[in-house]
Amino acid sequence: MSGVLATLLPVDSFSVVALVATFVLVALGLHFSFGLLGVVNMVHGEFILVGGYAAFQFQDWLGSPVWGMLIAPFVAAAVGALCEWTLLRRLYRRPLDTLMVTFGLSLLIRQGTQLRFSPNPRRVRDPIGGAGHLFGYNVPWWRLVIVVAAVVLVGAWLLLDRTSLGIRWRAAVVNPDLAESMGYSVSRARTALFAVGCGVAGLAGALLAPLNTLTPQYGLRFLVNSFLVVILGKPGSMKGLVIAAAVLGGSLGIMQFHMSTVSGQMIMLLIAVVAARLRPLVVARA
Amino acid sequence: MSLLTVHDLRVSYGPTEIIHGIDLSVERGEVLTLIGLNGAGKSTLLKAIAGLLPSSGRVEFDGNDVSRWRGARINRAGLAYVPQVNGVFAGLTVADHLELARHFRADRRGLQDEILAWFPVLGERLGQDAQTLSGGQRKMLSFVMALSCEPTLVLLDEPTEGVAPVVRQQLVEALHQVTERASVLLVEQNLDTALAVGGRCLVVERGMIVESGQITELAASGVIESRLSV
Ligand SMILES: Nc1ncnc2c1ncn2[C@@H]1O[C@H](COP(=O)(O)OP(=O)(O)OP(=O)(O)O)[C@@H](O)[C@H]1O
Ligand SMILES: [Mg+2]
Repeated sequence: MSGVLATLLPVDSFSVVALVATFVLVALGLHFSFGLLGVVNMVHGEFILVGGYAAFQFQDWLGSPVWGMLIAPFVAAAVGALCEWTLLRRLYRRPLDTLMVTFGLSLLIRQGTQLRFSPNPRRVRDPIGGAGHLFGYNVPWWRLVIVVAAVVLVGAWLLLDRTSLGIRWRAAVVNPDLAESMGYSVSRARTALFAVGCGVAGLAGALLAPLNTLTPQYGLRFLVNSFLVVILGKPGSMKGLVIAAAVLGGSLGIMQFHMSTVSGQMIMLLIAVVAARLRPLVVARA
Repeated sequence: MSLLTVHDLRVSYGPTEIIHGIDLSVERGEVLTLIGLNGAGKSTLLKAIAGLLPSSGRVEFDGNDVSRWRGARINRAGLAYVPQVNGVFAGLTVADHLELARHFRADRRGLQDEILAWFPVLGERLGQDAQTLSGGQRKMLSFVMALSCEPTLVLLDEPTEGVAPVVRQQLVEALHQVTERASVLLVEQNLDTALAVGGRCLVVERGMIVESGQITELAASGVIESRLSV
């Protein structure tokens, strides 16, 4: 199997898999805020940023970023819940207003980060380091952690979706008035969903920090790709998100191997546009 | 004291006022029917009472001033609401709906099974996406969901709209059962159904109440007919 793949695609296959996992991880948080709640969430990248700097801060304090990686999702979720509770809860079903408010919030968090940590690049250490061989591939261990995290998070959500809590959340999303009239506090469900999305983004930011340099712009670079993945996968659909991440992350990974990152990204955008045009046809036929 | 008292209720969509100061009350054990032309504001009135639309005025339910309460809290106080449209959750199965409806009332599974038995067709479709049920089946499901919480007052918005005569008959029988368990505020355009249920009736026109009385008397004197002909 791996041999066939290697002949067909003369690329570093595991790094493509890791890139797909990265796309899934960074887009997952947006699945909640934008896909499910309809908030045009420009501050999504900043929750990734919060996670990254949380890892850095704990590395500074305790010598290891691992604690930060464990705590990052809770920090990001708390900040997210605060944003939702103070500002966003009044704005559901007003996408343009959510865009402006979250844009303002993103500036605020970015500037705050710059004040606290300076604009200088920071590094988070790879907690494991090194690489090994797995099924004939060269596998850097930390990237394997990224892949496992993406699989576990998607799996956890799919399981949760079948529980009574998941059903209640879905009810509050698809028909808020009916859910409310049945005794479910829709505003509470929305706060929870938004906070979960922010927490997942924070975790993604912390886990990806060792593979990147941290600057206050750290989150921004993931924002566009996250929106591409969620929109292409059809907002609200977890299955679609994973497929879109595979298509976009996969094509970028393969292109990057053959040409520069910039041309790779341009081709990925092209694929996104074409795929967005084709999707209705594919869906209609399915 | 009345179970539900509404005083000077006003509801607006944006700058347009739709409900212009309505007063009404529902006594314990009573059925009150609202009749009125399309667009008169009946659904808007019910939604506002259920706490799903912002309104001004005063709504008292079961001794509490619920005017500023959210819908969820009003429901938990014992008020159930069956909407005219969008009464199910797309993508959730019939079984999911039933589970949702008894979440806060785990002890009332027996009650729900009893109500479910009125509509055997639902029991055969537990795994089906509720969105794909027929219109009549969706009405039945809404009914079961609303009653599963053992409410003291049920707001029903056109529960027999657009269903076949046999199904209408089934729903009317269910309505009779409901009136024995709870007070009912019913919106009903079909005069035969309204007469079959009986009780007091209010005629709504352009967001105001223009007639009130026993439905049999209003129907016999031709008031309803003349109000409903444009
Ligand atoms: N969401 C809304 N935004 C703006 N106007 C609305 C909205 N919902 C209803 N209206 C308007 O409010 C008025 C009353 O509507 P409502 O649905 O309460 O009437 P109804 O008496 O229930 O009619 P029907 O018998 O057709 O169900 C109508 O003129 C309608 O156009
Ligand atoms: Mg109506």
